Amino acid sequence: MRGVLATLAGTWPRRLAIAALALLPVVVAMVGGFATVPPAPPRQVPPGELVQLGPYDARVESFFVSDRVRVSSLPEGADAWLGVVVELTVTGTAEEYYLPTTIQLPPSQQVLGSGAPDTEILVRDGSMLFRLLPGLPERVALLYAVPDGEAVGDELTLALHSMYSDESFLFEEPSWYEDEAVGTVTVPRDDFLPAVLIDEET
Amino acid sequence: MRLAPRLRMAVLTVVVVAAGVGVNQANERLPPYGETSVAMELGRDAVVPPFQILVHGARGAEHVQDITGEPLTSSGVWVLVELSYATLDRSGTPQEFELRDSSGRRFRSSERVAGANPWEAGADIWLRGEIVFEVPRDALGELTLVVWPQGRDQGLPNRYGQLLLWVDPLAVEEELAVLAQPVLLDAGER
Repeated sequence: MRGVLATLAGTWPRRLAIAALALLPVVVAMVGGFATVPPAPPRQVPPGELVQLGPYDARVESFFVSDRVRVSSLPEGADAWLGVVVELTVTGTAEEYYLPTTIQLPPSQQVLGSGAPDTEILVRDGSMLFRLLPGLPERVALLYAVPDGEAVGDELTLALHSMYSDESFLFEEPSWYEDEAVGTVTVPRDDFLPAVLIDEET
Repeated sequence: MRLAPRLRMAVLTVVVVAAGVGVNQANERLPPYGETSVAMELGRDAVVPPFQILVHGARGAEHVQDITGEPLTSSGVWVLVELSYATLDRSGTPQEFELRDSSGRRFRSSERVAGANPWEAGADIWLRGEIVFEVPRDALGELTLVVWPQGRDQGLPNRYGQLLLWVDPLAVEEELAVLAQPVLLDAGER
């Protein structure tokens, strides 16, 4: 033991070197080396720009508030539909059913139900979205039932989340799971709707 | 001739061991479920158990009309495959039709067109009709039709038929394509 100490700290240069080593963490702390990195601000995606969200590419275009679309399926207590218009294109080789967690309303926006869209319809002809086909871009309106249509503003900031594919333990086939936030997109309100979406009775 | 008991024992042992080795070899070499894929040909009967199928051809169309009379548009194109089929024994409906393009993208028959679902056929009772697919425009050209008569989500290798089709990207019909409804065929007709 004494031999080891004598070898390590026997001369002044060695003592100084050991002291410098011991002080190193203090110096690093003083210049801020141990501070946590502030999280990167969420990426601001301009409306209509292509974002990759895992199984598909999306262009979030605009939103509308209307009580003249799919009137009969408005749930009880709902005043109007809030529809987020987004173009989705599946990038893989297999078709995908719509995966609703990738585009999320701000928490401040009141909706009826779980927060997932009630219905997804095709903007082209108002029919229900069954599934998305690979390589076939489809403009879709994600419909959320809102208790008060008047209260929705002129802009809406949506959070975009990516998804990753993993083997499902239960079904033994790949499934999509929600991944980290990709960014946010602030879309303008555009209540002008194609006539085919408007219910004739109203 | 009587063999000595010891010799008889030795011969029987050899026979039993040889039989075991033979069964093992057969087990290893023969596929447990037989052939699963059937190569089909345009315009010829093919047996994809439990169905007999004949594909007449395919066409591309910009718009289709479903049984309600409503024209349906697509941001891609519609592919209508005309085919006849019957079963081999009891009546039934084929479970799944799929088109694959040359880059491996897969499209199941469309659920958007009312009245375009596969129809029921009986043993040697042939019906002819059309199945509709929705595909992007750049998928046209060489397409593979895959028929899964019993579906494929059962964890077993199910029989399926494959057929190479050609849909001319330059000959997509502009006018409204009216879907041919299933027609019962006379004996011998396809």
